Amino acid sequence: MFGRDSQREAAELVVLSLLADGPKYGYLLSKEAAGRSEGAVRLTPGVLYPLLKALEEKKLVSATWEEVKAADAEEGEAGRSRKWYRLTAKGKKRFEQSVAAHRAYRAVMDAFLGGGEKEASS
Amino acid sequence: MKRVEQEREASVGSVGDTISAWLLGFERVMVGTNDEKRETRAELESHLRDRARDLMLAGLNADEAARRAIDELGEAAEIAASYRATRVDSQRRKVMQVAAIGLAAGAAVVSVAAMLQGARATPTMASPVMAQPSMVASSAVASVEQADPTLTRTTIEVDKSNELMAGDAVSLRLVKVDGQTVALRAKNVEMGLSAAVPLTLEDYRAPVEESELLAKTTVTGKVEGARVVDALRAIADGSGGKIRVSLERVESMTECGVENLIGNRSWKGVALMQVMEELSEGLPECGRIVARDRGEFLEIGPARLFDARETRFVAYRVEGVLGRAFSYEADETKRAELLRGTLSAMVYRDDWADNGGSIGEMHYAGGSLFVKAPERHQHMVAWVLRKLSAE
Repeated sequence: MFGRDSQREAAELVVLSLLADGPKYGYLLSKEAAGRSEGAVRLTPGVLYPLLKALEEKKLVSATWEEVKAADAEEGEAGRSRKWYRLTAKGKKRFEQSVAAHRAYRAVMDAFLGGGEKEASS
Repeated sequence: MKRVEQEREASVGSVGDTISAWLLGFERVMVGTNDEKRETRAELESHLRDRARDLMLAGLNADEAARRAIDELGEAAEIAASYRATRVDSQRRKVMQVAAIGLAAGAAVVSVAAMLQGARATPTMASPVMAQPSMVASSAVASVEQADPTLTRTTIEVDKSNELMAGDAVSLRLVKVDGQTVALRAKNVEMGLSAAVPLTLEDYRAPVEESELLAKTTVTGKVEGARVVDALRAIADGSGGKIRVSLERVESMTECGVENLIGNRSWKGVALMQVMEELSEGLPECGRIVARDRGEFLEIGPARLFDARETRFVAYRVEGVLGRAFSYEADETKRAELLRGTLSAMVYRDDWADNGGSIGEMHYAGGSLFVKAPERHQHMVAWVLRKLSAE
């Protein structure tokens, strides 16, 4: 009902959430995920990059390459490439839907567990 | 579009060497086109260098930083496997978009088996196809018929009560020959006979390549139809059609994953597997193919056609759900919007009109949610609503 791979769905939601704040590259995404969750969420490269590739294929994110050069690089010396990701309009909609679904899912689970409070605000 | 940005980087002499060595190993186990490999390598290199730079700023020397960054990344083979899984998912979606001509595969498979069976009775023949080129045509009885004009669909009926003899072990693979010509290449595993059969059923011989699919699937049966090719074409061009396939038994299977596809090893599973797998290359798209178990026969066709037939219009009373699950929102219209968003996200997300789909629609009015969608959607919508309204 909620997907075969809840971990992957959770990772997708985290990535979409981070990208909703603005464009980011892979390493920055992994750092921010760890930073915001105080280390609880770790987007390992083995999960993160294939996920980004899948999101790109689904056109939920778009990407552009940036060339990064060392400050002391000589003229004409090639730098390295960095891939920046940003949410597409389709990605934004997916993110909003996922947030709504996540909240509803929590409400369902709370109904079963009899525990947590329902969302107090949107 | 490329941007150029100046960025201070730590000295990366030995970092670069260590990382380059790892990337070289990664490239060797990576699966994909050259462009995909190049982009993936560049992205992982960027990640490793960024991480190594941070670790150096935290006090590690260059060599330690590079090794730590690589350790954190994980085994090259595991990363490559993750990418490969993404590719497989993508390819699987394409496989499931088998064209209606895929239905022809089941018939063609069986017809080849029948030909090979004929060949076994005459083992001195050089080619079973050449030996009795008219056999298939003569045994093929017309049963191409126009389906419900409002709902084009294709049906394969499997009759288990026929009296055919045990069949041959046949390896099969569908290939493209001479550009657009589609051929079925078959090899009789037991007899060593081989042949390639274009779907036009004209005589054709070519060296048989090693089959990657259905390595040892034993199939018996025959196709009934005036001209098999007519039935196949009718299915392929979407005008509908019905092929009656007699499939007596299937003894062995490969690890192709029929269980995963439909959950058991029944003859229906194998029949479906043949249809799905055999024609996965170079065919026109007609969307996702699904099957319905109708007891004595298996109905296979594009999902959109089943959806059209199974669409219902249902009104759900949702006042209670809105009050319970979305109590944090005071405005009723906004609550209803949240509910629609939730349902369209949880239930076949891409199918709803709100999400750009064309299969289902939801409208809210006067405390009711009106859902026009196929049964499979209705079932899930009802489940979610029940859960949302649960105590």
